[in-house]
Amino acid sequence: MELKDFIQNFAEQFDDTPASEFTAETVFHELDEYSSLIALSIISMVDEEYGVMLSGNEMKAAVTIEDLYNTVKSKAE
Amino acid sequence: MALFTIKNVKIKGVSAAVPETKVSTYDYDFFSKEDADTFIKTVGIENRYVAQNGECASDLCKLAADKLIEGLGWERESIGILSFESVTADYRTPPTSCILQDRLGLSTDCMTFDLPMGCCGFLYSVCVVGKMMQTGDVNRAILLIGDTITRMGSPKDKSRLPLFGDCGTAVALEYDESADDIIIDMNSYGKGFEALITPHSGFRHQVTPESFEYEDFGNGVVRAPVHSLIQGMDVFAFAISRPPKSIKALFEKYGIDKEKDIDYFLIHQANKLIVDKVVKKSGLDLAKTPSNIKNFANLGGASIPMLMVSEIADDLKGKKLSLMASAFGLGLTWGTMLFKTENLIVPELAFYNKED
Repeated sequence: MELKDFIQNFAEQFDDTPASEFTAETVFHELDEYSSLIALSIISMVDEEYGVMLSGNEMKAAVTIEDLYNTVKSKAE
Repeated sequence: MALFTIKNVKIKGVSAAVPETKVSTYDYDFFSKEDADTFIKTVGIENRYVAQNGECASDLCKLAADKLIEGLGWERESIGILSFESVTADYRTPPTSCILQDRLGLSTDCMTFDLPMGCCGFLYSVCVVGKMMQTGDVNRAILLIGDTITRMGSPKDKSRLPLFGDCGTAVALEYDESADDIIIDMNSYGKGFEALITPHSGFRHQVTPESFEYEDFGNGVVRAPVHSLIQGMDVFAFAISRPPKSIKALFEKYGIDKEKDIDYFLIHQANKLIVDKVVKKSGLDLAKTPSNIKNFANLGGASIPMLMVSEIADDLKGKKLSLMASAFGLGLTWGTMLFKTENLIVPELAFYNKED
């Protein structure tokens, strides 16, 4: 799995935030549009794209998009 | 996959009862009008029926059972097993099923037991009791499935209170050598047990005065350790991944063509987000996937029997149907069931009032 694709998949769960806002270092919990519903969309995307079941604690522990990518990557292996 | 094939057992009828008190999503003071609109749109729940003044799951199940036994025209002494599937028993001891044997006027020649299994309760009940009946030792059984889930949580927990409703259902099983096989796949993921838990409720953490002290967890979640909690993200991640795999595996194993072989897919009505995902991932036809979440919310184990009563009663009464049920919840547990029905007895939904 590639970080670049993960960021793109991640960004697609948002409706209003411009794509340029999403980088490996983005602190996603601080995005205005981030909500519990968006979190569920991300969990759903990770399940469908990577076959990984994320926990709420893993979502909370990830600070940046790259952190979440690393969590998903380690669970996918 | 723990797979069970039940032979010689027919489902004869199903009934349901709810408390009279109906609560709208707009009634909660922790929701603004806008919050309530968003909740209804995304989670899909507009109303739920809520037990008041000490109404118990046993009361709702008793009413459902009385209606069903009358509808079937069964002599009460002909019932050899009474099971009560609920996580909201009357007491921790004795089992509520024993009390209900007497309240329902059943014979003392009747085996009674409780099954506290949560949202997969319908599948567990049919699996356990069905398996016990298949050699003909017992001819008739009544399976009670119901909870007063709203009484388990904190009235100030925005993440849980609006999701659930209260309900009691009854299902009748009869020994019948001409019956089609009932196929059930059950699974467990104990690692996820804390996703749906009542922290101070048993002997691991006994109830003490501290169990009632409220804590504010933010985002509108205010509860005490004695209250049931739901870790929404964990439950969601589990529910959208595991049940579709079980559905797919069962279809493959039995060569089921989901377009032609199944009349209705009965999905545990957890919430709209989860049900929509399960349906989409399993590639099910939405037109054959009845929903009642809007009017009843999540009813735990009673969800699937209620779906039968509220959405497809006419077809159940008049036709031969091939059905699939998918449930997931507490434990965490999940399962899929394939079964056929013909000319079921389905009494009208009953409304419980303690004064009656």
